[in-house]
Amino acid sequence: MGSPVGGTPLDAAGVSSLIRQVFAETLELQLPEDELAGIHQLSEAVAMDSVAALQFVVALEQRFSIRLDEDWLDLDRLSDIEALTAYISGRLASGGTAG
Amino acid sequence: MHVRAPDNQSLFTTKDLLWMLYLFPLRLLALAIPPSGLYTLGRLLAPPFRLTVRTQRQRARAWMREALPAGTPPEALDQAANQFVDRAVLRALDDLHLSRPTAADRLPAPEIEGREHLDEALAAGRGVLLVSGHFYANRLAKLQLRREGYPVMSVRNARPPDRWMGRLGRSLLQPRYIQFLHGVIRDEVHTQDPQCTLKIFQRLRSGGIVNVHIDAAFASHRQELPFLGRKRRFGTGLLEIIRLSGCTVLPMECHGNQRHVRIRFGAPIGFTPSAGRQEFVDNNLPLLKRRLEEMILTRPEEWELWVRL
Repeated sequence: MGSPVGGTPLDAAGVSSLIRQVFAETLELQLPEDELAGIHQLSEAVAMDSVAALQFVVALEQRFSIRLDEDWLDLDRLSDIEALTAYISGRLASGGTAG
Repeated sequence: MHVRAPDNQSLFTTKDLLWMLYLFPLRLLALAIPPSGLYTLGRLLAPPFRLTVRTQRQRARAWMREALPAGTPPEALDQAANQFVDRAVLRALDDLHLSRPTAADRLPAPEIEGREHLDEALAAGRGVLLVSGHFYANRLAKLQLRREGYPVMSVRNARPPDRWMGRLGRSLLQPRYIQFLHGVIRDEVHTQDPQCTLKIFQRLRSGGIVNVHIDAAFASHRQELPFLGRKRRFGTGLLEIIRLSGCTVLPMECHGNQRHVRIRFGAPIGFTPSAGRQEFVDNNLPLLKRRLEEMILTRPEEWELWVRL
């Protein structure tokens, strides 16, 4: 169980949902929630250019109050929601916060 | 949206021929003869080169006339245009020289002005972005900085537009030239790399140094501004990196050749903070552009984008 957002502890599904939300906000995507929830690779939704990827990284870091490790500054890794969820959940469990 | 100028549709141009001579016989010869012989050969080849690029020289001079202060004497314009062409020859020779494995280690020490700005910026630990323009001495300066203990990552367009290049040049010679330059520059990321921005961010976040040319032609997001008496589109991605990384930004000017290079760092550029991307661009891109214009007008012959030679 990860650290809380607004007092509610985040489980993996919550982290995953928040990642999708951050992604949609960063790229200003107008996708219905169920469509967003069905995305497993972010590149399926939209091709992220290099600058958008940076914006996504910074938004994730702000939202979860963590600093991504250097090897996560990679388009392919950032695009894989399952792997990203596992990573962020692990970071939150080891002391990061989400807010 | 980035729009490229239409490519030259000729199969083979004079520029292609020059590139072929440069990349094959000259480059191989440069490995075999001493540097003094290389520069002597360069002096012999300079007059036919000037003749070959006379049209480009005229275009460069015409733009200089618009950019330099009104009342600049024609002789001064001629001199700047001639020096601009000669600097291209000298830089090509410097590249040949520097492509030798140990040549960079034997360069005379550079003259560095404003080193304290760089040291203070590095000490702040947020990474340092050196902003400059396309000046002939950039590559040399960055090699010198690496020797001085300041490794700099370059950001480079792997397919710069060039209207003087034919189809053969584009498909065969330009990639070879880019590969050759990689051997000189070594520490670089290409703007075509989908990971480009993330790599720049990574280097900055680890407290490193990155050099970006403000006048770069390749960018996915661009904004047009008046520039040196004309209009030019500037990439805005750089501003987003600055806004999001919080790095220190220093202007860097480089002049000279392999015998003597002068590097000047200015004080950190103070950007107007803004919450959003576009607002940050609107507030700060004109500032960066003005700094670049100042640098170019100080030494116009050192700026290589008056026209592609």
